[in-house]
Amino acid sequence: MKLYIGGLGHGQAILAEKETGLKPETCSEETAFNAKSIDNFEEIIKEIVKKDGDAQEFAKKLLLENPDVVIVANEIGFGIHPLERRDRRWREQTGRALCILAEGAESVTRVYCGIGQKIK
Amino acid sequence: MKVFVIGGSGNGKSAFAEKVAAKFGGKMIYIATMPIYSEEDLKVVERHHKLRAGRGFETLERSQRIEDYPDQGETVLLEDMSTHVANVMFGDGFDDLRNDPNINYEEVVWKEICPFFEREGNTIIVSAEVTMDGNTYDPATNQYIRTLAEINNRIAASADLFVEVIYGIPLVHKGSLAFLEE
Repeated sequence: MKLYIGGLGHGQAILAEKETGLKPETCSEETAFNAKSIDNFEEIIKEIVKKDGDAQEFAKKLLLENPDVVIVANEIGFGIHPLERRDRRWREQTGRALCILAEGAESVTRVYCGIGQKIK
Repeated sequence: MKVFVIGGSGNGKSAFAEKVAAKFGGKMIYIATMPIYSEEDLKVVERHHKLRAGRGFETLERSQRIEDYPDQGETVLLEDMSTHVANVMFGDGFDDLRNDPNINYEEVVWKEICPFFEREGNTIIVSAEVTMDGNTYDPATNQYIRTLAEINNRIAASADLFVEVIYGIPLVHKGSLAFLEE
């Protein structure tokens, strides 16, 4: 599993495609298990949180069942604590799910203003 | 050593800070700044208590002023600046500041934090990154964002080691993590 993360519009999907040759695609919780490259990972977590699902279990299962997938995520945890409880949960659970993915990943690349920094 | 740990929400800042504290060893004091206003806050505090359980921390709850400082030689873990700055600006116990038309919150907070850098023992300060969501807020929140950003800059300038934790991975901005491997 290769993980690419960065703020909105920082170019993580573009860099992921350039480095892996796979175009990241937006997926659902179900289609993520068969995807080659997942874009907007945080949106899947948003859906899981909406259903009161377990984002961390999902991340563990994804690592186990789709170990070669490329995952691209937009950073959402670098701002003011959201007013809405669901938004707070989304933000925190996205972070915790990404911690699990980062731990299991063969590489983690953080993209800042288009420049990738391989932090693992 | 003075250590500054920063990161986004749910990124594993606490776990990393506690790992550093355990490496320093000795008597470990955990200064918890989070006030409990709701059931959800209580859950966050309980989660942190659980993470620290059995690791030998003595916990000091300081959701208002930080006026007392642990003895030299002890390892202090202060968590965290984003709640502490919010406590000072909006919380209970600071009513005198609200009535001061010339109040400079940055100076108030810095005066409280400075002794942690002046003491001889190891200090680890945890903070959060709140400046990067592109949103514009009400004036009070905007002032909070600016104040925390300035405090973070000052702490980073004074720290020997400055680490950003990104999904559990430490990214060093200043200093070295070599001591963790020794």
